Amino acid sequence: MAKRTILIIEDDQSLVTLLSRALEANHFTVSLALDAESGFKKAKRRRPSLIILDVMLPGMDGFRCLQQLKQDPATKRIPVIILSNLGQSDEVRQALALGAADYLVKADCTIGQVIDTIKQY
Amino acid sequence: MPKQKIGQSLPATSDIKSDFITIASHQLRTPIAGIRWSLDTLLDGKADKLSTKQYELVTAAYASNNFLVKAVNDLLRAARLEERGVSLTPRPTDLKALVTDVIKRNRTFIAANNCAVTLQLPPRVPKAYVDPLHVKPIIEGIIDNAIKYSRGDGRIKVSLRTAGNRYLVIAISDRGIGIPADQQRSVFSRFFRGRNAMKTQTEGLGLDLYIAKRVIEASGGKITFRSAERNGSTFYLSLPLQKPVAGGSPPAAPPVARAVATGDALKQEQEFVNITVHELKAPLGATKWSLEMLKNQTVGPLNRQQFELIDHVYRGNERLLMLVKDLLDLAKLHSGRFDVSPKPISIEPIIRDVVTSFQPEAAKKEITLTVSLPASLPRVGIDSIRIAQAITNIVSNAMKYTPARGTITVTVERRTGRALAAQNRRIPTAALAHTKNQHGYLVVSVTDTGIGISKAEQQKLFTRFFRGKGVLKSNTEGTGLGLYITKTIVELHGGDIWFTSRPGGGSAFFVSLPVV
Repeated sequence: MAKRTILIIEDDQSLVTLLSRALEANHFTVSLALDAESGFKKAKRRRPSLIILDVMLPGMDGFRCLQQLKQDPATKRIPVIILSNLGQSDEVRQALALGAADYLVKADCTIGQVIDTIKQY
Repeated sequence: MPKQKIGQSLPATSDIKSDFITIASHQLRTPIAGIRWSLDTLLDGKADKLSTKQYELVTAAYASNNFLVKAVNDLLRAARLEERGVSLTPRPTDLKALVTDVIKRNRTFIAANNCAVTLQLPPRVPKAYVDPLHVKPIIEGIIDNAIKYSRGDGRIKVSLRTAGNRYLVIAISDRGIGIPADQQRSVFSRFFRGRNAMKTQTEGLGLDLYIAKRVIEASGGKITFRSAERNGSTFYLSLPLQKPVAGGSPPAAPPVARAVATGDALKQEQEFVNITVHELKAPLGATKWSLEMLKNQTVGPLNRQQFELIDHVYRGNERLLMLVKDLLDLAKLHSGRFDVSPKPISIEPIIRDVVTSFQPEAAKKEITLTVSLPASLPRVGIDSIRIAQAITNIVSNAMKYTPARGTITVTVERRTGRALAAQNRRIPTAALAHTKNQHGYLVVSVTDTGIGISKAEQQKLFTRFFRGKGVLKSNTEGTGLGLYITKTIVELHGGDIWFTSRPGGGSAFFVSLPVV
């Protein structure tokens, strides 16, 4: 089976390093974007099997990026998991209303839980 | 604060970032997440095995990090509740699935505490009319408590049943330490902790049940418990099956935001900050020691990857400590407990001390850091500790934003109030309020050849949690509170702070202090 590609849109370099290391150990291919604009372009070009998206990003924020991803025919079917440190019910609800598949709060989950969640999609 | 209508308009990031509690929590959570993930990676053994002693220290750091996660979450939920009241979006919810999921997700924690959770379900569980996003953390919190306070007998029972055709009742019972009889009436108050619970070395803020009661009552349900000391506790959550009808019992608290007077909001914010600070400081301090031992490799050698991970945790911990310290200053500033006791003294030794303390860092970054003082300076009325703190903040910013081989110059000169007043016209970022001191002022300036500040950022420089755009991308440490605190310190002395800057062309910060 071909390796699944996960696109991570996240500006915190150290978290990206830790998460991609763990994803690669679990036989995923990892693609990275450090801001929402380039993440959106990468998603259109590479059509990853899943996108991990942060909310507080430089420039366009994650909610807007999610909205664009869900409106674009090329990317609207790709499941998007929000991985943020914002996690009030309002924000969670907003993300789910915009079409996010799941919402994880970084500080609340271990890397193992993030990987388990990714595997469900 | 106006209530957000979900799914209608998107708030811009600036809106998300605008309220204090959200930002404070986000600021705290970011390093906490970094620490947690690094410790995860260390513990899973992929970066090579740790010795027993190393493993113990890393596990201890992990436990204190777990506590921080929960503390920040609970404080955030409680603060939000006070600020906005309970705002729910109830819908028919499958609680059987929700409870099963909570137990499944916590299986590692359950096993680690030698507990076993059994779930008793009737053949058919109707859906309850609640907001799953609010109910889930409540159920999780009560199960979590049952596990923590089990002590010795870890049999925990979770059952679901219907009561009439009005309620779904979730009962969670443990055989743990129980709640002392004389304390039972305050179980649902803020920051409640059982006397016997404090002795068990478990950590908790005592906010879970306070939040639970408010949310469940606003949902049209109720929460009760039965408990005896050393004989376990059972919590009963009665959740409505249908949308509560007006006038039905129990009375449903309307899910509307409570109007909070500005004074109240400020008081709540302070309480939040104070408690956050005190509760967070202890675990952070303990972790710092563990990490230092690991880093110095006194408890065993580390390979390169392990060292990097520990170093990352260490830096995250330092960042949290700095943030907590700044939050404490901020809380003191707001409650008027920030002491400034000005005395007529010479500023020269203060400036020299601050600059000297930065020389090693300057040498490492190949930055030329110089002081230029006139032969004699009049005395100023200042609190030496606070002014040292203010100057340190400014020099520290200059160090952060000045690249290698740059220069930073600190000068002091005497100016008349009239000359300063004239600046207001020349420098758009200067809005000096203090120009009337009859002996004039000393102006301390810190000039760098750093990255400068853009026009848009110049407007927000002295606001709380400000951090420059380029800064979010770099690895620069900072809490975004430094300049806000500095400005307040200077103003408490009857002086002003202002700056000139050009993107790419460096910045100069000025502080005026009254001559006595």
